[in-house]
Amino acid sequence: MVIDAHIHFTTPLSAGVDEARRAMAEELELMAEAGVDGATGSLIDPLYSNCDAHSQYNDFFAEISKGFEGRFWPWCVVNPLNDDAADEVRRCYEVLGMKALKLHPWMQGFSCSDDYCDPVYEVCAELGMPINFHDGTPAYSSTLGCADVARRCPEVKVVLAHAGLNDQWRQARDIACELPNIYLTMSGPSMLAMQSIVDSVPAERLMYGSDYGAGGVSLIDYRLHKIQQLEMDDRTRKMILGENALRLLGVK
Amino acid sequence: MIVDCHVHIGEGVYQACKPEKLLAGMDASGVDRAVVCPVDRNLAVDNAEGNEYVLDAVARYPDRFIAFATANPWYGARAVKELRRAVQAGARGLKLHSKVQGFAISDDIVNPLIEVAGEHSLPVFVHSGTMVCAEPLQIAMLARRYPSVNFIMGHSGTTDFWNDMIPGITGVKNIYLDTSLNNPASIERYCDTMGPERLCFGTDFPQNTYPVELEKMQNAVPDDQQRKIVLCETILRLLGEELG
Repeated sequence: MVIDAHIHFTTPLSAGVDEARRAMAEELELMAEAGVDGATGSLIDPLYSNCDAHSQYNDFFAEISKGFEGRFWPWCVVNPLNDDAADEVRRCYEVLGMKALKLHPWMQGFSCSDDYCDPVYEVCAELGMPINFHDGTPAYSSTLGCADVARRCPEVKVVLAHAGLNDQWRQARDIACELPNIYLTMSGPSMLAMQSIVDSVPAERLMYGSDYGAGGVSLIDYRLHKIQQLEMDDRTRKMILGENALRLLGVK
Repeated sequence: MIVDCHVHIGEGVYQACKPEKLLAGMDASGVDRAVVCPVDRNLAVDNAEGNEYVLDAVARYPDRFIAFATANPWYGARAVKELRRAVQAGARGLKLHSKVQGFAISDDIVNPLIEVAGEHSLPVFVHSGTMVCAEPLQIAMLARRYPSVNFIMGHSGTTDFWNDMIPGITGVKNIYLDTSLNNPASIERYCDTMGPERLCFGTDFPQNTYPVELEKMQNAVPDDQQRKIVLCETILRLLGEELG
């Protein structure tokens, strides 16, 4: 089973639930044709810094994801700059059943290191809700900046969505070796970098993720085929391609 | 014909690749020729050692490899001398990697080397995508300073400079884009906006492998004629070769 642990849907709120659900069905079908059995991710639009309707987007995304249980698991999005962000995370978990939080600090216009984020991190720690960070982009989204959340909040599972990209992948690899609550989806580093990560980081904390939504199905082909060509044993590949993502989401 | 515009060979600290390993990868995927540059440590220090390595590979496989030499601008007059020597010995382009070499690509420290490239009509391959020292708009600043020199932007600003690429680079006509590390959607967008004549196929081998990178090109540039331009014609034109 292949689970893509890092995707985005680009459907706008204005599409309405019915059309958005049709679009999701079509896109999941295209992913299935590319060999991906399930996926987890966020909407793109609430990641822009001018979004002032996170709860509306979270309701919308939870609603359109209904009917795709077992194939797609939606992430909520909040902006920690907003006073109600921590409460919204709790609502998404307890009422909407969302299992992870997406934060994209540079696009959302906040620093992952600033203490105004603490209430969000605290509620994620309490709920056991993983945070998927865009990483690899200084200053607001540097790999070590995102990873430091994992150091300060050892109860929070921190996913570095890009495993450091091209310039910070060694830092992502090394911090993932050091901190047991760091997970990596390898959306971006070169194959040589990915091989080094696979050879070093405990396999149960590595995941395949394409960043679909930043591109179409060709992005899935590109990043899935990279993982498939890396050298690793079958057991490790199975974990990276799907099992780890399901475990992180708490899916039986 | 397929020509890879971006390969590193040599015995580095973080990467090592012998010419024969590269040739095996090329042969298995039908890649005809490759532009070879020195590896990591030879970009930073011991430039002559790295240049000799690539020149030796070209001497042994002249039909397969094209040498780009490097010189770290911090060496000043010695860097200029080394570049002139390497060009005399057969190097056909200049490779600069400001992240590894430790300067901002737009800083004037690099000017003497660009002037040598200009004298010999050599393309200049520059790493891009790294903040502070290798940003697309820094490369645009350098390219505007030397409008008669052609620059190839390694990685095309990947990853998080995609916002700057189309508005910042399209109008700077002496900048060409390397496809390595780029996702297929970005390549498609650059091809649509700037035209295939501005794109060169590159892998950054041994960082990436040919089967995945060539499949990516098939998806990113589905038009056969356009893909032919990207896979070989742009880089050959920059090297002043007849397209046949």
